[in-house]
Formats: sequence, C-alpha cells, structure tokens
Amino acid sequence: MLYGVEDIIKNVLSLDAKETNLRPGEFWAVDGVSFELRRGECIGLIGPNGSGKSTLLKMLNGILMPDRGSIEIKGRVGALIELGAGFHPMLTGRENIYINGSILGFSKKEIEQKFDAIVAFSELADFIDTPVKHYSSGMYVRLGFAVAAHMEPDVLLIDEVLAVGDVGFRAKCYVKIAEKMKNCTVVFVSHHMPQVAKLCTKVLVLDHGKGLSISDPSRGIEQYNSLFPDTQLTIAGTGDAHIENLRLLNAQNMATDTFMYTEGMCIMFDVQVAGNYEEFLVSITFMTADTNLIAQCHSKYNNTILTNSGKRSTVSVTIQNLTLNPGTYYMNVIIFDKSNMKHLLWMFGAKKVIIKGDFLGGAPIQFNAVWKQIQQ
Amino acid sequence: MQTPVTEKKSLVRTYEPNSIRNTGIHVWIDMVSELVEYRELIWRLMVRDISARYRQSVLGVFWSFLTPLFIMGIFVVVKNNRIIPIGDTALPYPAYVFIGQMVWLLFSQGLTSAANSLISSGSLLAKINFPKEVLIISAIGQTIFDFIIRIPLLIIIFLWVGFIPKLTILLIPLILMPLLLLIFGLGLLLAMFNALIRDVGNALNILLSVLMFASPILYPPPATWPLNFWINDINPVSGFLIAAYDLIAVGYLTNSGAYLYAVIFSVFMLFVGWRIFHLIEPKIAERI
Repeated sequence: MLYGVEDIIKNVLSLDAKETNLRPGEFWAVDGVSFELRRGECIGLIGPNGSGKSTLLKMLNGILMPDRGSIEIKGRVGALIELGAGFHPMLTGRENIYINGSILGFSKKEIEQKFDAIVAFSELADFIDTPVKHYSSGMYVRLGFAVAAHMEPDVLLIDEVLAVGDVGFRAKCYVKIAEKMKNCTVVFVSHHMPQVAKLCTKVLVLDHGKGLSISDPSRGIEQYNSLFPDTQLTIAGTGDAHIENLRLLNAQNMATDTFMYTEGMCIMFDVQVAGNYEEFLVSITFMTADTNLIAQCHSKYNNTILTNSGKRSTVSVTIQNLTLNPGTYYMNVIIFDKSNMKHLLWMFGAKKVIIKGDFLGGAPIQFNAVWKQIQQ
Repeated sequence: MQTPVTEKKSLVRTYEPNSIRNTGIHVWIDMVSELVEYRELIWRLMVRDISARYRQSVLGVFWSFLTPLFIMGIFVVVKNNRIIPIGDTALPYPAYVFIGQMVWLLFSQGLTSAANSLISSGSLLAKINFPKEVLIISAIGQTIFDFIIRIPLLIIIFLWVGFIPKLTILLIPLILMPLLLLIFGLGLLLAMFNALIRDVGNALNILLSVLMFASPILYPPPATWPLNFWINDINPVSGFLIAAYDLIAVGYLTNSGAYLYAVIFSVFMLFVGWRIFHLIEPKIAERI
C-alpha cells in the first residue's frame, strides 16, 4: 500500500521510478521473457501456479505496465480473460449482452449486428429476457463466452476460461477458438496440456517469472512436467497385505524405470497377505503426472486367480506392448480382497515410469495399430 | 459510429516503463479522444446502474426526492419556529433550501459515488483494458440523473410558494458545467486514493458533512467578516451556490468574484486530477 503511494508520488513528480531495484518484499513477477509472434501463430504460456503467466497476459493486455523492457503489439487486442465482465445480476441477458459488448469494445451497431449470432451461440434464446441472477453458473459463463467469441481481434489473449460449461459447450468453444486462430495471433494460457498440444504452435515455459524456454509444444510440455516433484509414495488400506521388492523389468530383464514405446514391461513384487483371506486381487493403474488415471490392468479382469495361504509369494505381471504416449507416468498398486471392495493395500505413486519415443502424441494412449493402404 | 476496424489494424501499441509520462498538448488530446471513443460504454454502465437500482424498488425514483424534501421540511420547521435564527433569503425559504440541496447533493453524491466507483467495479478493473475514467464518469452520470428527476419537484415547489424565477435561470448550465468539472476532477483523485487507501472513503463522508454546513444551503450567505470570507469565498461550492441563487432570484451575480474563483478552481482541479489519474491508472490495477 505504501509502495503504491510512493509510486504515485514518483510518477506525478516525474521522478525516476524503480528501474532495476526491488524494494523489500518485492519480486519480479515476470523477468527476462522475450518472444515474437506473427499472425496465425499461437503461443502457449505454461508453468506452475504463480509462475507469471497471468501477469504476462495482463501486460500484453495493457492493464499492467512493464517496469522494464517493452511490449509492441500491432492491431486490436481482444482478451478472453474474464467472461461476463460487467454483468449485472438484476438485468436480463439481453441487457447484459449490450453491457458486456461495450466493455469488450463493440460499438452499439456491432452488437446489434451480432446479437442474434451471440444468442444462437449461447443457446440461451429462451432465457434471454430473464435476469441473469436466475441463470446457473454454466449459463452465465456461456453467455459471457458467446459475447467474447464474437470479437474480431488481431491479437487474442486467452486465459483458461475454456474449462467451463458442459462437454458439448466446451467442444463448441474449441471450434470457435480454432476458427479465430486463422485470422489472428493467439496467446493461450492453460494448465491443460492436451489443449495446449492441440492449439499451440509453440510453447513458452515459465517458472517463478523466468522464461525457461520457447520451443515446440511437445518439448515444452515435457519441460513443464519436469518442473513438478515426483509424486510421493502414499500407502493406505487395511494393512492386511504387504508388498516388497517392487521392480519393473524391461525386455532384457533389467530393473529400470525407463521404457521405449511398445516395449514390454514386467512388474514384479513379493506380496504377503494375512492368512484369513483365501484369495486376493491385484489392480495396477497408471496415471499421468497430474494424477489422471489413464490405464489399468487387473488380475480379475485378466481372469487370473491369486490364491493365498498367508505365506509370501512373488507375483509377476507382464504387459507385452506398452502403448503409452512418451512422457512421465506413475504406477499405483492396489490389493483387494476377493470381493474387489476392501482395500488391503493401496500404494499410491508406487513407481515412476518414463516412456521414451520418437514422437509426442496428444493423447495418453497411443495404440500401436496395423495400417494398410490399398491403392485404387 | 466507432473508429473503423481497418484504421485500428494499422495501430501499433508499445508498452514501456514510463511511456505514459509524455507531456504536452497531445497527451490531453489522447485523453479526451479515448473518452470519446468509449462514450458508448459510459452510457451503458450508467444505464445499467440506474436501471438496476430501480428494477426491484417499489418507490423507485421517489427515493431521490426524499432526502432533499426531508431536509427542506426540517429546516422550514426550524426556521418558522425560530429554533435557530436564520436570516432572510433571496427567494422563499423552502425553494432556497431545495435549490441548495439539489446543487449540494449533485456535488456530494457525485463525489461519493465517484470515490467508490473503482473499488466497486471488482475484477473489471484488473482484467479488462479500458480507460478507468469511464467508471468515474458513469458514476457521476447517475447523480446527474438524480438531479434531473428532481427538477419537476423544484417546479412544484416554485408553484407552491408562488415564486416566479428570473429569466436568467436559463443560464444555470453555466454553473452546472464547471461544477461537474470540479466533481470529475475531485472524483478522479478520490477514486484513485480510495482504491489504494480505504480510509479516504470514510474521511470523505465526514468532510462532506462538515462542508455542507460550511456552505450557504440552509442559511443565506453570511455578509460579515470573517464568516463571509471563509464560507462564501474559500469554499468553491459556495461560489456556485450563490451564483445559482442569484441567477434564479436576482437576475445578476451579486458575488461574481466567488463564482469566477470557483470556475478557475474547478478547471484547475480537473487538469490536476485527470492528469494524475492518467499517470497512475496502470498502478491502480496493480494495487487494488
């Protein structure tokens, strides 16, 4: 607060504002980041929370001024940063379209021309004369997106607003953005890597305000994933089962955590289950670095019966064809009782698995299909 | 109506430290043309807030009548019963108080809503790029609306007390225009400082109530030293108040010095307030 007052006084008196010196408690939110972008290109800004993505976006939007360095932008800038800006809950959808439109820089004539298209896009024609306070949050955001989507900017700034609405509407938003991208330059901030991989032509990785790299999306995303610490092993369950010597073997029977795409993998471990269980089931699941489950193999679904006498046994699970997309994954091991309901042991993040390959796909599973082309 | 898109396409914007610190006449041209470009938004926001205010209210515009009517009623009783000796006014006392209240409420409510305009705009300020002056003007616009809807009531009061105003009442815009500039200039400063330090808003309320009693609204402008100096001449709102009474009841300005001073003061405040606001604008988004 006092810095604010100090800055005001300096500005008004035209004193030299802070150039390179930070006052106690201050830090550079974005520092040493340079890039150039042309029409038709889309840059993805990715990085952990607080890495400076939104600050950079605000500077590009002209809301914040850089304290050093410069930004040059040619053309009209449109920002999909805040959906439904200026909406008043008491007013109807129709009135709010006009208000939001004016805030986004539409003239009255432009809004009138686009009004029908906006309403059609939002699919809210039945509720357009209802005060928006009666809208559900999804409807509210749809209306906001519908207005924003009808901007015709030269430079479009997008900040994670797409993670809203139902599946159908989200898909529609994508199509609209892809359509816009043809005619403008896009700066896209997101934590959702498949989106980034799909939309961006290059990626800027930010961490603690520093630009780490500008590269093609696949390499950028890899670097982004490497910024996060390994998922910690967490053990839960009733405690009636124990696992030791969990190891991953490659085709050469070597213990490793790195596998080639389509290589075979053998998971081995020694297990001891309390004697009162006659049988037990094992589920092995794979998840991405952001803990989304993507693949599973389960003893019961593979028609294998694991019997128990209370003594230690060794289990090996062989996956012949590992078709995970190159990247980093974590493996969980869960031991169930016969009913598949009671968790005897739950090892979350039991192993890290790195898949190498000469490509980077947009989806976690990359089927190794057989392709044929028949010439006519 | 707006600048065609083709023209905007050629525009190259550069954001650099201190790039807003340019001096000279073209800065002012930029500042004014920016507002002209955003007049649509000013109007929309004003209409939004006014219609939202009345949407769920039964009494609606009558609320705008109540404050000046009550003050008028109370002070008519106070004067007629000689609870406080109030001297003779240039026009019938109820009309005098009501005119004073109209001008005063324009000033005080204008400043109050301007001062709160930035903090109440929420994420708009931090996320959308538009000249923030827009918010202050549309806030003041609401009080102008209140002023206008009080005019019919003033006419009724004139009829009631049987008062015929001088023809010079048509020159009232010469008082309202500089007064609005003063509200705008002060409003910009207050909004900005209130966004940084919330104490400003509280201090403003107290200051305004002091200033109201230090202005010739409930009593005629004092004629004796030193009260006439402090109340009539130093307080810029008094210059406008006295001139308003004069144009309505006398037909010429009895204290043209005070009026002139008020106009100069207002224009000065406008220049200072607007310039500082423009310089600080990017910092507000940072600090709010």
